[in-house]
Amino acid sequence: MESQRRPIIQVRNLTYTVGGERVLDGVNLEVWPGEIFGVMGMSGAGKSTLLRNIMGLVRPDSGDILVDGESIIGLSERELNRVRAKMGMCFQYSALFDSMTVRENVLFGLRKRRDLSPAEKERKCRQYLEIVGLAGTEELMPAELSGGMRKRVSVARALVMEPAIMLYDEPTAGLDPVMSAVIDRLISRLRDEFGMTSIIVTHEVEELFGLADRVMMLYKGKGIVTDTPQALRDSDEPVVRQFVTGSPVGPIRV
Amino acid sequence: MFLPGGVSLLSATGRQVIAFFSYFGQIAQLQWDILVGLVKGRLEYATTIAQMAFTGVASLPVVAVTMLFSGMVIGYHMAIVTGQMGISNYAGRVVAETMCRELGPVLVSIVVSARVGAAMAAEIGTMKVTEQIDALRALATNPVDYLALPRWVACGTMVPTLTFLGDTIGVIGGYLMAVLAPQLNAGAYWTSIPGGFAPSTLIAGVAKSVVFGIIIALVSCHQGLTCRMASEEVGRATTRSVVYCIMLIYGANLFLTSLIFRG
Ligand SMILES: Nc1ncnc2c1ncn2[C@@H]1O[C@H](COP(=O)(O)OP(=O)(O)O)[C@@H](O)[C@H]1O
Ligand SMILES: [Mg+2]
Repeated sequence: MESQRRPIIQVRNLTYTVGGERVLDGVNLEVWPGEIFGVMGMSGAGKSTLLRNIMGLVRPDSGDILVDGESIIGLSERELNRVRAKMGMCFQYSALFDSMTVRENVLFGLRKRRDLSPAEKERKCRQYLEIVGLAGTEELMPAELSGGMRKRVSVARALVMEPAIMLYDEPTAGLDPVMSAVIDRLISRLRDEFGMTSIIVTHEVEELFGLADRVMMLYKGKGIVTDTPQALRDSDEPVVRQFVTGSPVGPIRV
Repeated sequence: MFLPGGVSLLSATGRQVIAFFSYFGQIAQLQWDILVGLVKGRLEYATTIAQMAFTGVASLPVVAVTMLFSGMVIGYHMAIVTGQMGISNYAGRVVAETMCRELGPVLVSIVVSARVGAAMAAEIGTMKVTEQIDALRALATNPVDYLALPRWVACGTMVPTLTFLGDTIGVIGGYLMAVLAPQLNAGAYWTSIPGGFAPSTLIAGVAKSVVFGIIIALVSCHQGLTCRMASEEVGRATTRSVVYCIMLIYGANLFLTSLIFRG
């Protein structure tokens, strides 16, 4: 029960600058075990950058990031690898290894695991490809896949590591509505069956509201509001209101 | 009026100097990280063998052609020059010395820089730009161990192997032209080599090429890994990798030659 009371991810006062631009400017968030947490914001708001910070792929200017109670700030790359094993990341543009087949992509993270026999690895590979609806694509190359298939392979590649937390960067952007629904169902199923925690970053408000327990609005480098989808729908906050209703008039300047 | 210009010139020069040292610092850091990975046994054999095949076996045709033609023109020149000097009997040895001391190690390394180094910079640079390097890290894989270390081993072993083969092919090329030249006694071409040519010369040349191979791997992997996040940057990184490799090979060659060849 201890773990129930402690957030599995905590971000405190995170600031991050790239190219002289302060992309994140004091972001705070807490994600609870088993929660589906959404982050929404305009394109360029820093959503991907936030996930890259949480995964330890870049180092923030200041602030703190705790994963399962452990701060990742100042950890060496090797120590970070231990923390990263708790997290799986699905990249915005899939980032499949394009010199490898689908099967090799999915098995990549397992290749050094001594506790699994080759047959067990193959079984896991098939199992997770099946979960994302891609059974039988093992020997295809990434270049032969559609955008939606690539996305799903990248989900399988992360899931096969059986992480406690999944970070999804625009998991359904560019997918047709049916495929988007399949991915959304998968995310909630993983929570229901395995208690998996998810952070989903997207600009697709309606979809996120149907899936997430709580959503944060990222605007000008800050998480301006974090609340349930229902509360955000009813919010009077002008930025949230404009974003949620998709209105061209309001405080958001483009 | 004079001062501001002078100051900006000075600070521009200063920036160049800092960039220069910071570049070598980064190369040294990469070399250190590779050595740590090697010592800690993080070399992955399958990728290393694939890289060795790509660097060694697949480069052999272009290395063979380069060295054959170089040997032929050097053999042709030396047949004439040694004939004029009345030392035709030394033509074979002169070609062997030229090949093993300089042309073999340097030409092979330049061919590998252009063919293999460019490909490594492009491949790793593309992986960087498409976030595949981040995907490696997200899957708890160190990009230096996984990408740079196998290429370092492949270049460090295959460039000297190619140099040895290239030296041999060059000497054979020299023979082919020497046979055609009327001044030269074809049999003397071969007998002149064991007479004065020391095997240590061959070894010293091959030893230089080990360093050149390492330079190629370091410079090319560094360009790929530090490629900026835009697709047009991959092309720039590739070009830079070839230019830097060739410049550094020239510099290292001058240094190593004066260090190794004393006599
Ligand atoms: N490597 C980088 N170099 C320069 N600017 C970057 C880099 N990464 C992100 N940015 C900038 O950071 C801002 C936020 O980017 P990003 O996190 O990708 O936004 P989002 O995912 O919300 O669309 C953008 O303005 C982008 O230009
Ligand atoms: Mg993004």
